[in-house]
Amino acid sequence: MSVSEFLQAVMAFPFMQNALLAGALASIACGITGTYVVVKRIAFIGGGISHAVLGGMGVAYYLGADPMSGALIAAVIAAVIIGLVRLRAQQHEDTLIGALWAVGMAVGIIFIAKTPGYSVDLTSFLFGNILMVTAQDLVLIGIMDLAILALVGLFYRPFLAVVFDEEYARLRGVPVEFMYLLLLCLISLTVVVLIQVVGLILVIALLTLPAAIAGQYTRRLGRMMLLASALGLVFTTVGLAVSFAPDLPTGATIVLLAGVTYIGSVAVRSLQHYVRYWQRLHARRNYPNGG
Amino acid sequence: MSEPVLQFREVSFAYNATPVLENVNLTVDERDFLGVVGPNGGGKTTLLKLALGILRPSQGLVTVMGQSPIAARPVVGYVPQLLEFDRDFPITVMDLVLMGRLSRRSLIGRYSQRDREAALAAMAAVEVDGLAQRPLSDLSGGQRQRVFIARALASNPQVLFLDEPTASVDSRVEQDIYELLRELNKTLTVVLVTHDFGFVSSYVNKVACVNRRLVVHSAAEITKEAVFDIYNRSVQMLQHRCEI
Repeated sequence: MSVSEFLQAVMAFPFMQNALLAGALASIACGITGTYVVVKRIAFIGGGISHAVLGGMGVAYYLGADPMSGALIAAVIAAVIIGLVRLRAQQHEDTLIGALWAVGMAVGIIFIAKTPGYSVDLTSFLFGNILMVTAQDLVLIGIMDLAILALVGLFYRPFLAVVFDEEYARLRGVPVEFMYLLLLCLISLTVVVLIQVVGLILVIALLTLPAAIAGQYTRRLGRMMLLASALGLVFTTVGLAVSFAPDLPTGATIVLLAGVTYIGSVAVRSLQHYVRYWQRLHARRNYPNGG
Repeated sequence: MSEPVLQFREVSFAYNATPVLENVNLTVDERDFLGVVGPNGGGKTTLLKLALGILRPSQGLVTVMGQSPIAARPVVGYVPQLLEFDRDFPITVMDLVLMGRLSRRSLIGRYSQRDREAALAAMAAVEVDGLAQRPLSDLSGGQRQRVFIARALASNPQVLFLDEPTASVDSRVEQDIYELLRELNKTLTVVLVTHDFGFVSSYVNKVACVNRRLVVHSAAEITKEAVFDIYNRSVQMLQHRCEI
């Protein structure tokens, strides 16, 4: 499909406009929060939160409430539990996250199965359906984006201190536990936003890959956030365009695009490194007296 | 007579049931340069963590400037061991040094002009002000060490605690760092933890040998002629105590 055909489709269908906008809004969340996740190396925590969310979605669905509000509540609860275990117990953190991960999903599956009426399409929770995003969803995503921007804008300095060096932050009087929990709540908000784009199973990819790619090209946190957001925008938009005509699952296409770009980027960086090394070696051989 | 900068009175500390420090007495006065030496696992880092209020003594009392270690944190500068840090963390030298300006009262929003000036002054004091906009990952080991000292200085502390500041640098840089600390010691009290006694001995005026118990040697005992002698003797003493 050509670009013009895709643009025509966007013009013709409001659901395509919603999808594009959802992708753009999600990119902001994933670029900012993903950067913290990558530099703090807490991708596993992000995975735990995003999967535990199915429990909340299942319960909300069973009760006839909006699954997204259930997702938000479950994500925040999961974040607080993981945060408190990490800060207080400091042991078996990975075991607990793994348990929360699986138990949350199990609860969700049971509640969805027992929901009366015709059964919901579980795959749209698991793999997302960006083409089904409504105007109301967009408002919710926009509000969560604003919340993330406001929190990071206000607490940029203590977040950086906690992410870089918790012990030193504590010595300087930063409320480390509070900031850490707040950081996990940022992840929760982002997870809920991203679920609507790629589904909860693939959230972890958008939470890490754009920021990880950005981290290869900049050594400043703020620029990493900007670049990661821009990459997120490219992946969601291109993913949407590529998947549209052949009717591929959009979330999976977006994630695949991000993954291939990441691997390509790693390869290019390694190659550059190797070439530079080779050039240095070569230069030294040609000018043995340090030319 | 002013309060001692750091005082341990009959301090003991145990991790669970394992005693790490026993009945430690130590007084550090204003403008002292104390080297804390001893074998690995002897309790050096524990001593430092007690002084910072990260750990609480099982028995006895630790005071910093006459206050509890936690209350004294605003006037304490701390340089952690650098081996634990992610060298590729995306942060500039300026942003790292500015962390030293954080305080309970200043968390929200941006750093003030005063914070930036204080950070630049701290960088100038350790001669890394030219590196302000460079990413941390670009720096050499010695530069990185200086940047972390600048972060500790940025809050205008009255005492500087350093944990193994020369663990990750070569011996030439090590000497530079000690020279720098000697300069800083003209206005600051310095407490330095190191496993390498030989080098530090010509810079400090007090040496505390820690191996569960603590023995302080004064400057008189560590004249340059006696350094090697004391080094041997103190090592023997430490080994002797280990056997008890």
